Amino acid sequence: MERARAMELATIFGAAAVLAYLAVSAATNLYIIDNYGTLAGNTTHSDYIDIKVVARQFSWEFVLPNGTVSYNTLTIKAGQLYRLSLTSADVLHSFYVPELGIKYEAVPGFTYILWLKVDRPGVYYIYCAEYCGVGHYLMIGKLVVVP
Amino acid sequence: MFTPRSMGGEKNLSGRDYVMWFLIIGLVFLVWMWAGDWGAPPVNPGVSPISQHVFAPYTVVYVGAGVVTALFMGSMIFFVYRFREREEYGEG
Repeated sequence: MERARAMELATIFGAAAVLAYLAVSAATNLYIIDNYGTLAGNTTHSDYIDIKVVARQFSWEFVLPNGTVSYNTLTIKAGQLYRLSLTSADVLHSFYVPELGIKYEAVPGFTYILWLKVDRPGVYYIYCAEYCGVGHYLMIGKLVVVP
Repeated sequence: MFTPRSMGGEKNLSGRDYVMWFLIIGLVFLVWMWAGDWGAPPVNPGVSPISQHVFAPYTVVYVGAGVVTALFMGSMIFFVYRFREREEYGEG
């Protein structure tokens, strides 16, 4: 085979192999992230705690299973699995916790499920990562993880 | 057909040119890795088991992007240098 042709094929198939690896890695990890609770066999309400998260201009509303509502601060236990149902009451928002690497869109009329389990106690900031209006920069919540 | 003097009318690269080419690619890759803290995730992924899956592909993607960037940018820098015009007169 001509040398130039071999180089051309190596470039094409080399790039395809890299892209395929990235696609498989991304898809696998994304599937695990989205189905973390069910994959671990935690399918009943005794295995996890349901929390409803409503994003609105310009605050985060957290509704706990007992009906308690808190604004901008969510306190959870370290090592406990939570299932957050995320939605928006008005415009597009985005639930972003940089230190945990999670960012989910909050879309009016839709509810997205995200699993949350934090092992290390501390305070993690929740940002809105979707420009949602003049008070967007004020939309900062706290995720307080207690031992 | 006009042939720049720097090319000397030769189409083939010399051994020295190949060494220079790969050195530039390697240098661009090193700068990329240094700028990105050698591919380490920006935060500690051990905070949450779910975060570990989020950050697992981070280093792989960063290094992969560095390889592609180094190949393209390094080649571009090399070609700009190797085939630069050194005539006293320009195209116009």
